[in-house]
Amino acid sequence: MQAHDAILDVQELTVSFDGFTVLNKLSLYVMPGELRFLIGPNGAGKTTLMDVVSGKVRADAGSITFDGSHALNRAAEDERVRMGIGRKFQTPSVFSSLTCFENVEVAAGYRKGLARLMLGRATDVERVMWALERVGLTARAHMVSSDLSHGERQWLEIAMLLVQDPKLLLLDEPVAGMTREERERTGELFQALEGSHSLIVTEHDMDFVRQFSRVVTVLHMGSVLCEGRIEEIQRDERVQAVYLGHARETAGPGA
Amino acid sequence: MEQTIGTQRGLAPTPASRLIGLAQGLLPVVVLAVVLGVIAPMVLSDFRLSLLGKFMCFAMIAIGLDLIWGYTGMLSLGHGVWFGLGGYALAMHMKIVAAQELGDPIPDFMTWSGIHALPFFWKPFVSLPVSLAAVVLVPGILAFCFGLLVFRSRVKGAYFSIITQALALSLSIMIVGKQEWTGGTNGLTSYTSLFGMNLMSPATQHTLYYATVIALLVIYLAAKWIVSSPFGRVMIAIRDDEDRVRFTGYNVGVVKAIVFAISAMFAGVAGALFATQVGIISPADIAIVPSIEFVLLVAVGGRGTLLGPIIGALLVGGARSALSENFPASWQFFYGALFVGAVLLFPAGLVGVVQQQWKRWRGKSSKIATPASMAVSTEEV
Repeated sequence: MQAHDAILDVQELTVSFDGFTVLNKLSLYVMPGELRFLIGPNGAGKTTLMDVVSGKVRADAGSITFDGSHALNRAAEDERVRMGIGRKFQTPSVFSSLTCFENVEVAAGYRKGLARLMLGRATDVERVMWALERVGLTARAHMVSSDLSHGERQWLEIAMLLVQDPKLLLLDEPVAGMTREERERTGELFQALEGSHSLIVTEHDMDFVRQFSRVVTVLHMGSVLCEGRIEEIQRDERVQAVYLGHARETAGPGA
Repeated sequence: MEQTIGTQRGLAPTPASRLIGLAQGLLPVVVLAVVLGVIAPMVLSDFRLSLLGKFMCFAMIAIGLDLIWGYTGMLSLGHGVWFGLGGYALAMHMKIVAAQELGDPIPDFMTWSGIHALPFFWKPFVSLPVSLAAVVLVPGILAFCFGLLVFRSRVKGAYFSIITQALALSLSIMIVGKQEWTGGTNGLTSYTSLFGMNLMSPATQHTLYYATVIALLVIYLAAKWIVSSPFGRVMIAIRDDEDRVRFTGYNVGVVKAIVFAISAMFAGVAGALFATQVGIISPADIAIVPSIEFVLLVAVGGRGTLLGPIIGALLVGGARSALSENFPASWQFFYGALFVGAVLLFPAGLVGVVQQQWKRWRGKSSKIATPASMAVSTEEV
């Protein structure tokens, strides 16, 4: 595997907030069609890595190359989405006064010209309903999203990604707040997307990771600690040390 | 259950439901057209009718403010600027016409200030078509550029409001300061004719009144069209969570600048109709105090409703006239109390309160129809 074939190639990424280094020369690459899990204790830099890739946070040093040719460092958030990077936030962020249908509709219209949106014939109803169906929200299509349960809101946000058909999906704790059954379905959805899409998923729930992961990357203190199949990862002494808290003393405040 | 809900509530964008939506949108238009266009001219004196025309101008600004504040979540406290630019654009033309009728090359106030030739930026306003285009285009283009600058640097919330207020203040100070070019504090007044019609005659005033009714209805329908399009959903999405819209792939700055420009164009039309009917436009009509009053019209009527701002503008205008006629010495206290009371008692505005009650009533009835799915929504509300 060559890094230049990668959908996402992160090199020596460094980010610090107020002198505290959150990402420390982090390098990682994800291949097209891969389903990659990111794990690590709180403060390891999982969310920050997604923030830098999606453009929410600027890196102090290092480079990110997307899809072989796009250097991301200077692109605005919305440009990155149009390049094909979709983001699901840790706390489900959907538009609370719009219905599920309208939420997905807004996501679906992102490439259409604003004039077309204003003329009002821009919505591909079937495609919106298809995305809602994939996450099982068909029956909720006309419910205002603030009335949804936490898990349903997670799904709605995933539907908003699906309808855009991004090349790379960044999913930050997508199954938090879901029931066991809902987690199963979400995991199956991710596996169905695998191959045609690249996915990076952060998750704290080890059962979920065990069940659905292929390659797992462990982050610790802003760098990659190790990478491999979950069975190997769990046998790794460094990982055990990190998760059992042996490394806490060196982690510093706010980690 | 999927089918029950699908058929009960319908898919929002199907042709049939769009037609229903259109009918719901047209009903207020018909009511407004009948009340303002037929009944009011029959029952009101010429003086009252011209007051109503003035309130309708404020209603147009209020609709524009509702687009940016109620739907998109940005509060402009300086919309007098766009109102003023539209008003001055047409007033400048009427001033030139008035001077020409007297055989003067330049408006009277310029002569008094010792100017003998028309300043360069007045020259385009000799032409009526150019002036009419400027009424819409000058506020629209300037607001778009201003919006792009401000929104690209992600100025929002209270900071945005403060900047718009500063803009209103600077424009009025500039107009007052450049008396020889602008007419100063006195504003532009004593026009004689427009389209070759004598502005003093009751017939012309009636024509202008009807033009105002039509402009108000057109602006209302345009705003209704925008908010019910997919673009309107993007506006509401920006109000709910601006950053999420960015991470959904939209250039939020451009979207906001467009809405801001549309809103400014509405205000420009209002300003031009105001200047012709009232017979004067001055810095006092466009500075900070009127700019804040415009926002209050939206707050009283109900933001995010489009109809609310019209009702707010007409009711507040009527109340203002009634109070100032009955309590010439102390009406401002009552006027202020009216605003405070209305905003405290009805935070959602008059139309907002009606809509909330309607939703509550509908929520109850649909809870009986589809217990499982609707229970969630009604209990949480």
